[in-house]
Amino acid sequence: MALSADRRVLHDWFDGQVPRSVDVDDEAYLESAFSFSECRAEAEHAIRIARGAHVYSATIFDVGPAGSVAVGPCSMLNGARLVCDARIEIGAFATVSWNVIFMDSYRIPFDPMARRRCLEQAASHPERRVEVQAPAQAITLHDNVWIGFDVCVLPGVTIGEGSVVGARSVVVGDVPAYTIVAGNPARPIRELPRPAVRNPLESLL
Amino acid sequence: MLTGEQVFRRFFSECSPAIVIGTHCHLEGVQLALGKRATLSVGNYVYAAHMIVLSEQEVRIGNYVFASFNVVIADTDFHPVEPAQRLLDAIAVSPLSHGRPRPPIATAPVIIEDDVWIGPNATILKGVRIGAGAFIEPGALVTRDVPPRARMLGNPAQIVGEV
Repeated sequence: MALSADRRVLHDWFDGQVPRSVDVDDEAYLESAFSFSECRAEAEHAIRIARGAHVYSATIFDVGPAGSVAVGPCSMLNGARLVCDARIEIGAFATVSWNVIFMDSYRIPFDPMARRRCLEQAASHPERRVEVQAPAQAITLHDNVWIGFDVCVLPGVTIGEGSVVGARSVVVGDVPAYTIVAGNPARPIRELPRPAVRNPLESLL
Repeated sequence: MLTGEQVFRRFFSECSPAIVIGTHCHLEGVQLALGKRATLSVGNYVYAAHMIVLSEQEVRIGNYVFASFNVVIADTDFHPVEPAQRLLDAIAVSPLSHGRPRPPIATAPVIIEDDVWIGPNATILKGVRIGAGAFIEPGALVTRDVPPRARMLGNPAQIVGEV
């Protein structure tokens, strides 16, 4: 989908521009520039939305200055929140449902006294933002992953190819390929059959 | 600062004061759904975005508490647990109620002490006291008291460490 010359989305209900740090492929679909209203990524190409990917307007890219996000070919984000200070990588053919939270950083120190100082600074910050003072660990979703609604994916998690995460799960550790996990915290439920033939849609990548 | 289109959409408290909010708080896009006899107190330097408070009795939030998006705090069961009472409740809230009162519904105060962090999508249920400095992981469902500085994860939330 091509953006207009001033980086707007056609027929957008939200009056805003897509930031320069965002690359949207000509054959991707982006519903609204609203998805980037909390995006503070500074690098060029920090956010890439690949060919055939579709991103709907309840999706929020809450990306910090050093963060970067890749949404792979033919992947769908239907109302996820991406809290990203390092890297969130979503492979091809992924399906992500609503109210999903990916966070590669807690964005807050674990020590209560250090948290106090953050909140005191936020009170005098011009945008009342809590400044990040926490390490970030990248999140990776391999190809053909399906994430159910209301799922939380915590820092450092890798989800293997073809796996399914059940609704309302909280994923705290790595998920192997071709596995269904569910629960809070998420645990393996059963294995899924691996495709016997090569991906017939590989030509789309 | 207090913002949100729906902050008082379901605010019915007749208490005075019903809500007390301390200094330097940032409450963004919150919903404060308070019943007739409900009170809410919020300490100083509390930071909450898109938090929902559902109260029929009392919710107390201390100082330096941080609550992420979609956090729900409820001090009530909303409906009776006992089936016969629940039938009466279903009628009382229906269009056929004709002024029938609702049966009694269990409530218990929720107390969140100072320096607590509550992650996104976490839910705090009635009667829970969260000890100072506790860390509630994203998506946790807290049904019982939490000791100070405990790290809680899961449904139901279990202690997984200390901060």
